[in-house]
Amino acid sequence: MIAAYERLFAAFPSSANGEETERLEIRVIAQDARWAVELDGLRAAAFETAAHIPPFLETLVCQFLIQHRADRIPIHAAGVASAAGVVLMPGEKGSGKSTLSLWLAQRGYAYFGDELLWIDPTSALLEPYPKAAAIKAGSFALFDEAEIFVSPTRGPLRYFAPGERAAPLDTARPAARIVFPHFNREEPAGVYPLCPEETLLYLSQMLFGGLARRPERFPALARLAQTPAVLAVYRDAREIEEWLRAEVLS
Amino acid sequence: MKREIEHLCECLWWAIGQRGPATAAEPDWSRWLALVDEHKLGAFLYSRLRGRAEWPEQVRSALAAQHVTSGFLNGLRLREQARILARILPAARCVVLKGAALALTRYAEAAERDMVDLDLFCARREDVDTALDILRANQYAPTRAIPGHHHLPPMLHRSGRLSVELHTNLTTPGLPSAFLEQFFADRVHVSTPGGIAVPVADRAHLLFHHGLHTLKDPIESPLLRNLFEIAWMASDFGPDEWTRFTRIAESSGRSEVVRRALALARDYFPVDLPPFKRPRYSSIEFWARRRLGWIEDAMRPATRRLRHIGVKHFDRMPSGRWRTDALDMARVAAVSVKNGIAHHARARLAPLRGALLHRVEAHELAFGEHAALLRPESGQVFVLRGDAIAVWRAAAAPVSGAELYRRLLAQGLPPRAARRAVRSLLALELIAPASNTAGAHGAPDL
Repeated sequence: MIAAYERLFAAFPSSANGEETERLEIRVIAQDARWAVELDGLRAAAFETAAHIPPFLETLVCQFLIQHRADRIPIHAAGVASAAGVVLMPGEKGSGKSTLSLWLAQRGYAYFGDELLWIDPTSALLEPYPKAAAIKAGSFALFDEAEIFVSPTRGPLRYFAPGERAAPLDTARPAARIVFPHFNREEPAGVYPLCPEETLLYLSQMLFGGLARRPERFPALARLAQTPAVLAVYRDAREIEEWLRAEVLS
Repeated sequence: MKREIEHLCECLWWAIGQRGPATAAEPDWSRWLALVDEHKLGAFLYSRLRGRAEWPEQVRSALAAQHVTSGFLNGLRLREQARILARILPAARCVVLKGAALALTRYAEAAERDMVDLDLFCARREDVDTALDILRANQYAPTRAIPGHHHLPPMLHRSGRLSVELHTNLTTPGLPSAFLEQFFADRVHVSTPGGIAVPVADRAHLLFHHGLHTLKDPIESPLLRNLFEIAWMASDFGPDEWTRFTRIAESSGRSEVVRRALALARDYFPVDLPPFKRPRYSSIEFWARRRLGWIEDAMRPATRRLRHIGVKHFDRMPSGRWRTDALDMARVAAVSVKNGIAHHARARLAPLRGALLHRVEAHELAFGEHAALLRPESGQVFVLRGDAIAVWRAAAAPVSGAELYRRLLAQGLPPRAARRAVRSLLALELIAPASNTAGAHGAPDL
């Protein structure tokens, strides 16, 4: 379990470098054939198998950061970067964010993250959160073998640390393209350009915590919405890779 | 009682060790799950009965998903609750109420009980002020006020970690001050792992307070969970506690409200209660039973309609009548129809008459050829075309419908486009009759 946790957050320093603002103590206790997770000594939940713990900690740490990092806007998105800038991929659960970001990271792009990215509210630049990519069973065949964990909400998962492809934590880059991925084997594949108004409306739905009572986030989002954006319906990660190569790298 | 309700109630009673496995006929599991969802019971059932209950695989995995989601959301809320209480309690005399108190006294882990907010009853006005200062210093800010309510506007953390409601009384209309003093004096302390002694109401007052609020909103609240919690609390009361509880209820002057909740809880759970007079049947019981009966997809038109009628029933009770009065559907329906016609007439005709219109609070940003509006309360974003934004700008101060049209026509808008734009903004509730936007002024520039 410790190895899984280290793989999950391999791209992050193992100790705080800088001013520590708030500490969350997570304790995992084996007790009565169950695994209990405590936060600062308070029992959050207990699970029947250790395989549930890493996915729980992954979500818990993300949620904690979203609630505690006040100087950045958290967006539900994956991202990769090339020399042209960041390809931001906001999307709901099951849209293919993790698969695409890992696939592209293994093909030369810098890995920004598969679930959560940060927007600088003054510059609208994007910053990475390069935790390990969490790949669901449907995409196992695309990547190497790895230990399988189980999330009650997402099913079997494999974690892939980005290694040297992870963007450094202090990176801040502009968005080059916004791709709203929509994985669907039933619909015909296609890339559909979006106007800035549509992009703004979609982006506003992808912010963790939304815009309610956070109007200071609005200008940065509006600025980000001016980035060329598409809705990409795809059946295979290769289709997005080819489109990006033609559109962004060219 | 429908078999899904019966089976679920048996499962809940089993989960607290008061009986063996459910014996009711096997339910329709998709309806059973819908009921569990609607009343926020999935995480609790999974935590207590996994490995024991024989659920179909899809039910088991749906409950497991609810449990894990509740675990990280409520785990972090419980932690934030402990953090903020550690700052407030040394400085202000407070008692933790409702779900937060139950999470500390009844439930084994944060995942089991959804906890939306922290309710704190403050003994004196200066304690409220102190608590408010501490909350503000910890990045909490007030949200919308409910005039005349027994708690202040909820204080929400900037990053949505937790909402805190400071209560100046235990209900609306308020209980007498002598009762509140006794409520506070009888508090007990619960030790938490962080070393904080958290004050909560004693068992009798806790049951009284829960009973007082269980039927406040039979339509939108997790009603079955609330009834279950009442039955659970009552299930381990001894004779002395019942005597005390009865004395408390009678001294509050709200004994009927609490008896109504206990009687309804007894209808669904086999809890032993001392004999008491059941209040007469009222609209509360009528809607509570309807609510527990609509085990359907909440998005189905029939369910949505029934829910809407239930909410409006209480909104539109004829003046002078109480929610606990005997059911009077004919008169409520008549008032409902009358109000509906009046509302429709206002929405359609106000722009054409002298009624004052005013825009609601929103932030405006230039966005290419358009303008984007953000409503800070809801976080909704609107992108408006030129004619619509002209209406929005023209309604910066209260203006009559007729004057608004004159201004739009003066700006060169064709009459039809002007009318359409005004109606669209009314429908989107971006402008409204001035009485609805009283106190809402333009949002500050970003």
